[in-house]
Amino acid sequence: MRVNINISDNKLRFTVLRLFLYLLVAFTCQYCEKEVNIDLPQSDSKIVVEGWIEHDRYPHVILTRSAPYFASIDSASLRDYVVTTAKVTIITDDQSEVLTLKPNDAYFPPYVYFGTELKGEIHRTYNLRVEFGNVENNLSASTYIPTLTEPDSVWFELEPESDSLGRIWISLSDNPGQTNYYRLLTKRKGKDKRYVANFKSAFSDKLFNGETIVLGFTRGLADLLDLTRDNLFTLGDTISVKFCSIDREHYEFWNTYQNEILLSANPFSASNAMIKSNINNGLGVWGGYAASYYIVIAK
Amino acid sequence: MKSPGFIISRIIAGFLIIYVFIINIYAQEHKLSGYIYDSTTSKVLTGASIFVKGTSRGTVSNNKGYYSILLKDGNNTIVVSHLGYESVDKDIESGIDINMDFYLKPEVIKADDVVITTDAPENNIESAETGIIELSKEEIEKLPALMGEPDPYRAIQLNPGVQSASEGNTGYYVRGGGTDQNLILLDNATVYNPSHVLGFFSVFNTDMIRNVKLIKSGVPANYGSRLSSVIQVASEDGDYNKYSTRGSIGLISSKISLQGPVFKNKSSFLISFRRSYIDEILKPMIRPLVTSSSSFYNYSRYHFYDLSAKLTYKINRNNRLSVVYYKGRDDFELERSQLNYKNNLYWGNEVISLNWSHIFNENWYCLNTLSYSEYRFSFAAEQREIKINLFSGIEDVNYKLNFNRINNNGNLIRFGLDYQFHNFIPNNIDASSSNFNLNFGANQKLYSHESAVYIASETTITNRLKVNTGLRLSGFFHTGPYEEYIRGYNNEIADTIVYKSKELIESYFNLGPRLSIRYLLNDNSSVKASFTNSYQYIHLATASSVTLPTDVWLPSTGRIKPQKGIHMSLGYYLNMFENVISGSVDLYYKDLKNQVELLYGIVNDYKDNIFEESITFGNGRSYGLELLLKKEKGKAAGWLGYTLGKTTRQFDEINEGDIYPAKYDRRHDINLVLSYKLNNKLTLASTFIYATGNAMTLPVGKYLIEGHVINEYGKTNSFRMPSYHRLDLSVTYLARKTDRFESSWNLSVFNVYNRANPFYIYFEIKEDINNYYLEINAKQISLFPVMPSLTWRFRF
Repeated sequence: MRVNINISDNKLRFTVLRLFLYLLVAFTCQYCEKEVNIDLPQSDSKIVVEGWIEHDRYPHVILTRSAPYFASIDSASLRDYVVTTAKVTIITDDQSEVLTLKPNDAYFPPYVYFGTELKGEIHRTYNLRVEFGNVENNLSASTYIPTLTEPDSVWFELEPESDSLGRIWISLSDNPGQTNYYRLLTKRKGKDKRYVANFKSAFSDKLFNGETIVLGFTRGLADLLDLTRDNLFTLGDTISVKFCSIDREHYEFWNTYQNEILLSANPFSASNAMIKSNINNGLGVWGGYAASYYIVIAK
Repeated sequence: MKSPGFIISRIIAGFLIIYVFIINIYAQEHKLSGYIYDSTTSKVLTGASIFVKGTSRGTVSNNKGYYSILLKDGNNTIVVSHLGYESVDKDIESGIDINMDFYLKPEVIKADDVVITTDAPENNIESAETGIIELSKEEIEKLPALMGEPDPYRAIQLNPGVQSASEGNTGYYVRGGGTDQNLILLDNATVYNPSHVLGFFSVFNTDMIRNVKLIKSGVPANYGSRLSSVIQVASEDGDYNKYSTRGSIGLISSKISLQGPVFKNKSSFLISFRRSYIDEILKPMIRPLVTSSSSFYNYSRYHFYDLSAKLTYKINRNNRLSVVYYKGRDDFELERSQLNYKNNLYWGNEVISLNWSHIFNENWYCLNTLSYSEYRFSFAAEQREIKINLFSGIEDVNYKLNFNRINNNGNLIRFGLDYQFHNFIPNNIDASSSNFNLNFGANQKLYSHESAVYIASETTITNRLKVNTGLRLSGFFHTGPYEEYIRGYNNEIADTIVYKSKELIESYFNLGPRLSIRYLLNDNSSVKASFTNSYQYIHLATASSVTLPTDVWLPSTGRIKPQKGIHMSLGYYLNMFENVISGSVDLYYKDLKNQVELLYGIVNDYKDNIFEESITFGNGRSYGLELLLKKEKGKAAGWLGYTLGKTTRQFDEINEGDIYPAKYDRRHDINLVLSYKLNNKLTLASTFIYATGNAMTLPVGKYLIEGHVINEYGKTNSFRMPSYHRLDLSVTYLARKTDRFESSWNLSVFNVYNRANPFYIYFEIKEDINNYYLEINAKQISLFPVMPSLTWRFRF
């Protein structure tokens, strides 16, 4: 019972659709590709939240602004897209804390609103409020930290044909009777600045509800748009694995995010697919994690 | 309260009384009826015109070659004519009902004429029907063809109000209706996905067809199961007198057909086979030219074929039997041994149609059709220990009974019934890894029964006024086995209702009336109006922005309500220069309810594999103006069509509930078709198409999440692709034509001026997050460059 988690309906459909594309291109013998100028309607810049809270840890919130689609971004113009002037508050049913902005170059952009008092707890709901001078621009969101599920074991294994590359495997006994949502991230010691996710990092148990299953994970890529790059772990890596339980809205964000990354350049993708954000009046995600950590040495 | 059945039976009875009343207000004339045949092959001729000289009386032979016309007592001169045949004049002394068959001789080639439609030109102004287009095999074969493969389906799309979606797209759209709203019939049997190679070629090979007819408005009650249009493909009868072979050899496929008598003058057969040989011939030829995807050619295989066979039997004068069998399939394989990856993709249709026509007497005629239709799509992939199978399809058994009664005053009543048993396989996935099965949900099958009774009339009320009416009562029944899920807290399944086999789950009844009126202004012009209210119980869920074999057919269920459509049309029709030039202007308005879209990627992962729950519902509207100017015959013939249209959709869950342009909304659509006969040997033809670019949704902004660039989309379909236009030319050279042997060459050039028409637009992103740099460029992909092709056609 070993499964590469990359199977999902969407992945499957994508594979089918990509085949059609091959077929079309093959059939027409040749096709031409040219650069075109496109006038896109202007859209108002929106506030983007990338925020999370883990049990036993302090919350992190990164705020940015969306950019016009064709705008080139370089280090000079980047400053315009970082939001540093908001009042960010975390609220539970009986506590609240205003977060403080600090530089942190593990993240991009390298400014993070940190908390120092309020830590996440399992089975609690956390509300996020982002305030600006103008009330109309305020954002809000809510997330829940679900029950912690820990894998039975986590290990590294070489690919069958390889003597140096492999993936991380976990054995997971899923909780029957309810739909669970998970997310897995990894960080290689000395190579990654932060935990990174692969393009199918979030998954639900709908394919194996209540079963014990072995799942394989590739490495998260720094650049998800380039799928041809090697995405495996190398022998000798020290890998920190973060395995999280998440709630449904949080999962839906990552799931639609992953689909968007996989499908957005495909001519067959549906035009009505959108990322499902849980942020009111903004974009992005505010997510709660019940996480467990494991150190795996690739050998 | 009275039962709906009682009320409906009263309504029908009421209509019947009206029908009988309308139809019997005339008296004392006698009828002439019979068949029209080709004198050399004994095949029936459809669409032949039968006129009474010196009067405005006339009719057209039906698709069984049968006609019936009313004559005043006394001397009458009948003129029977059909394009491509010598006309026959006959004096008839009327006083009693007469049965008379006509045998028309094929015309020796005329030096100066080409003809472009089979329809009798007078029909343009005289029939009460509004948007009918009919093309014969010969006309289709003269048009320029992509890769030399004539395509009836593409030819029909060259008319106003009909849009082909884009290259590589199966679908076509009639006056803003969806692709699933077109009923495609092969000898009365439904064909669900009529395309090969993703829409580049129609599944109907021209050797097997006699003609193709499109009805785009005022669809009669007997075809009322779809909202937008009907394409009737009539298959060719075999020759009743002698054996012959015809075929063609082209660049990517060849076809051959055999026909002849089984029993002379009594029974005939026709069998036709076509197969592509892209792998065998085309690929080796182009391999040196391909650079960008060269590796692809080494591990893929693709072919399609179709086979059709027809057997006809004239039992006696009043009974005819025919059976048609069609099977077509596309196969695509990919194997990459270095990745241990293998997959197989196929899709295809299979159709059997048994038709029995019976003439009771000169007034009564009936047609029975029993048919089976199947469409299947399958995808299988294997990589190491993982196996995946994706499967969808539809299977139908259909019985139709249609009665025609031609009254003593030449008016027609048509009534009958239509029953279909549908078996849907929406979207089943099986996946396994070694010996562990992944749970993609139980394989689902949906069963339903669709039935209808209808009555229709065609009545000439005065010389100027003709009225066609129709009423269709339809019922749809979704039956078990089926599991219905009740959702509770957090959208988890709280309860499941299990229905047993054959148990009725949901039923719908609807009454759809229709009316067409023609008013003759003078001998050369008329005004026509039509109103249709129809219901459709099956839906096509489209996962992507183009129509593909993966699209899934679904029945109406408790959750998916029947589609409802109202279609109105008003037109002015004009014939000039002794019917050589004809023209029309049509205004249309269409209102569609309960349209479906697949919310792909949005609800996809919390649906517990219940396909129905990934569907969302909305409404549609379209309106526009169509112009058609046609020169029917002469040294040069052709037509110019123009459509000005607007099509919108409104779905609560799409575009924040706001109205948005449908993806096939087109403001302008122009088609120009011209044929020119240089001499007996050479015919030139050209087609030109212009269409407003398709609507699409594009990102307007971008943002970063976990260091990756994510698109922020604009309003649904708010962006337009560049417009589509293309000119095709062809030359047909008739090398030899005798009774025994015919040989011709067709040289076609597709996309003559090499327009790079947009197939899709994508964005290339260059990023280097660590150096804080990002740049996006739009790229357009086009499929067909200028493409010449040569085909040799023969018959002996």
